[in-house]
Amino acid sequence: MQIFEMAHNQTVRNSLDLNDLLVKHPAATFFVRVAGNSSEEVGIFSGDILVVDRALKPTARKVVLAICDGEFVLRKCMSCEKGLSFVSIASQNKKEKSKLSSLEIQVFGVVTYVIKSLSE
Amino acid sequence: MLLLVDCNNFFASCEKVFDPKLEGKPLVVLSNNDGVVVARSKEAKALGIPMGAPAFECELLFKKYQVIVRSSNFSLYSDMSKRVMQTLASLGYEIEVYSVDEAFLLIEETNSSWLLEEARKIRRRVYQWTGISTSIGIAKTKTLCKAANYFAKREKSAKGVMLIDEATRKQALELLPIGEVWGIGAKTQACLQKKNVHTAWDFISLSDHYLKKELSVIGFRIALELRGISCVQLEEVREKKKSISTAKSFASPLFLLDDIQEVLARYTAEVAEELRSEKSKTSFLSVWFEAKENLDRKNDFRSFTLSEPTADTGELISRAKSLFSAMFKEGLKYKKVGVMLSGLVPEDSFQQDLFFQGKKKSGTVMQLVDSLNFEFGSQTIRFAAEGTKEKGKRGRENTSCRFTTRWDEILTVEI
Repeated sequence: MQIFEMAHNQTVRNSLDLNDLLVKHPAATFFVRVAGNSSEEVGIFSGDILVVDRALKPTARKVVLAICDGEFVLRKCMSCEKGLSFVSIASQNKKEKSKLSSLEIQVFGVVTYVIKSLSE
Repeated sequence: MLLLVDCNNFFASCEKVFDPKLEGKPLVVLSNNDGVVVARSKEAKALGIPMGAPAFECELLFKKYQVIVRSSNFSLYSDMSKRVMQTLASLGYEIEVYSVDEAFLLIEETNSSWLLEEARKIRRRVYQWTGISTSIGIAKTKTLCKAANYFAKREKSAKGVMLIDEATRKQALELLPIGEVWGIGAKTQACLQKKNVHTAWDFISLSDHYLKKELSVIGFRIALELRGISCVQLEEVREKKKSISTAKSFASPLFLLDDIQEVLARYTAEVAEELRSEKSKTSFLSVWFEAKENLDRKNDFRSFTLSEPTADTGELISRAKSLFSAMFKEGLKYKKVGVMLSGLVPEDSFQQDLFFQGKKKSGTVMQLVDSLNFEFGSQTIRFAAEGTKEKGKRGRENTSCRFTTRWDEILTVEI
């Protein structure tokens, strides 16, 4: 009897919580829904929910949620001689290179996970 | 040393985080039912729009300068407040959450340049993690911290951080108007100004005997704190009423619900006015009555916890009427009805007084700060909607989404 109770308690204490997996900095984590087109390149599709962490610093190859001309946009970071440049993640024929940080673009946070539903 | 971290234009800043187009524009946030201005962006402040101004009075001004008007979004603000406090808690210092947008940190260090640098780091972290900009005042006592924060906000060269130590205390207090001292209210300020006390330095130059006699032990404690001597219990700096109530017997007994509701509305308006003159808000409303059923005395008492503190007459009347309706019984001879407002908080903050001793893990902070979030959850929006329908006033027309508390209202980004 005792052994069974102990085992039961252990299981309850350790049950999996998605927050432990997806949210490393709760105070700095925000959720954003994707609309419009999709980006096969980075694997983000319309309807997906993104986990965005403001506590992380953008580095090369990361996808970031950023602000450009007052609008929220998604950009992929690429390293270049001057540091980082931010490239559109839209499909090939819609690509446009954005300028470096500060003046033209302001990073909101780094996209860490993509939550995708497979049901309609 | 103590650090006071204070969010700049908090409600307006919360709106800006999720709507980058608001950057650089004049923005005001209105209270429940779009009654008065409760927050302004720095651009709106520069236009001279005063805090507490009734919205309808400012309509022309809003149109002329294209001021963006938002209805208050308490779900969002309380969640953002929680995030700011969690961010501060992550630094590992003892923290006291003082209001929805202010917290004291205790850092065991006296080196001024180290503290200034640390304060800058704290500002940067809060901004990076939450998008909220803050001002930090550093000093030995809470009252001096508030003074330092006053300068941190106003001195451009300070870049949001100001430290007051023994060397700079005199100069700072000479520049601090007496009305801006924490704990000195309008009435006390007027009294002191009559006695030619105009600055904080004038104030502490008064004799201890005079202070204790004219301003009571509270005024004396304020002076001590400004002199750099920390007074341990500083919960009630201002003597505020704990509750406001009125209960009057009717000239002649009343029987009809409508008649009684009319009287109740008048009493409620009276106490609400007194509440506002005290510069307070209430979070707990009670209504009771005394009546006779045949020869028996009957009475009843109902209370309601408001999902957010308010001083709005319309809202309070509406709620008081609901409470009474629920108790009303036909056939009774009603002799007296009463209204009481309690759970009073200063009108410019939601009071939370939590002091953490020792190096507790941030989990404890979050648990306690969570209660803020719970209070301003779904109830807030539902209650406000009810209020709007009943009064027929313009209300809640421009509410931003609850970006951090509702899945169907999160930010959307287009690829």
